Amino acid sequence: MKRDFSEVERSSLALLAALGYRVVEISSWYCCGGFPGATALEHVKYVSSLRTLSVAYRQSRELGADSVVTSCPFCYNTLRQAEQLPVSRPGEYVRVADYLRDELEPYRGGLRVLHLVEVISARLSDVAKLAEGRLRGVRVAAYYGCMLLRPRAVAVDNPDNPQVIERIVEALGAVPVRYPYRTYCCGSFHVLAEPAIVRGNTERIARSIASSGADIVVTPCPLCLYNLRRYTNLKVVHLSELVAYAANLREAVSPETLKVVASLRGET
Amino acid sequence: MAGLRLTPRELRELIREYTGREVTACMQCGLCTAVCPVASFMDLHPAALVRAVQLGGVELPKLRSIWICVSCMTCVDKCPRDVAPGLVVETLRQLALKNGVEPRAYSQLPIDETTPSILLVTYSRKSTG
Ligand code: SF4
Ligand code: SF4
Repeated sequence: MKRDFSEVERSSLALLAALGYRVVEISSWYCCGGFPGATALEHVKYVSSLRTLSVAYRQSRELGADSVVTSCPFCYNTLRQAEQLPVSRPGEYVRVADYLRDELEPYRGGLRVLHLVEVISARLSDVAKLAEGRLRGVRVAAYYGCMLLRPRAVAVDNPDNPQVIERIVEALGAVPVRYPYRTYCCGSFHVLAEPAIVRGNTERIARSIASSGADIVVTPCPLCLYNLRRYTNLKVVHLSELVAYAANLREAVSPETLKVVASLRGET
Repeated sequence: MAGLRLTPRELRELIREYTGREVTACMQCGLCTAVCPVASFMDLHPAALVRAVQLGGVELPKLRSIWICVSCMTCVDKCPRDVAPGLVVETLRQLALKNGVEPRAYSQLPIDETTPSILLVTYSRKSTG
């Protein structure tokens, strides 16, 4: 995110500040690795996430904070599953915690792991006030991707029929349009070695979106954004950028997104 | 490590140990395959793979499906028998990797400075175990 999608970080931070949150970066964080360990064979994959949570917990006590928020769906998914590990898979948690014991006080719980969409959706009326209907009439298709919805235990909303992004779109004064492939996987990392998969899946998603009559697509995931932009002609923007734009935080929005949104509103 | 020559029973037990799921519970309804976003790119689609595991007939070094699954977890959430095919795939992928089966050499990948790190990280995790 920091290296390749700095516009997402910038717009997310601006938005959180505008909503009155004080956000402090975790003093030393570790790459989550993208996917949490799904089987008992892979508990070692929780080491980096639990390390991050340990540091975050220590820092949160100094700051009086209670939540870890991220704008990356992969980090969210992995950290959230790591947060649940002491309860969901105690045997594996103990092995990882033992391994980390010499280095850090093991994380035992106490933090809430949140994705940015959860923070925004908890403050819809404030978001609506900031937005002042700036996107009125724009038809927005929400594309969720996988990592915010599955597995069910970490879903930010009902994975079978999520509404959280549509509600945010409504708060912006825009019109959410729904279509069948909202939660269909874009093909993810296969863009690297099996591009036919990503091409096929994104085209399918694009056809579904086209038939919904949307003006613009919004997604919370940088990898989905990358794949959809690469293989389709859709106008796709990251959710944090669209909300920041609507909230008149233009200095935090990338020129590319400004151009896309301006074209929708008939500005030049 | 268990190696690649497993009897059907050893394979089933290994999967039970690593996923907590029971492949014999599968009733071949096919829902996992229906919801899988990449099933059409697999050699054995999720339901067929579970069936093959039940019968003990998987040839791990040749199986493409384990490299195609993106761990989207749709089938895991949908399976009415709680078999979690995506976790079965993940177990097989781990077994293959631990026994030296490689999906593809890094040098063959089209990587340059514009390749986002999120892509390298996720790809690497699925191809290095
Ligand atoms: S959804 Fe479950 S029960 Fe149905 S075929 Fe797949 S693994 Fe078997
Ligand atoms: S977890 Fe793998 S097998 Fe299951 S639906 Fe997703 S891609 Fe298909």
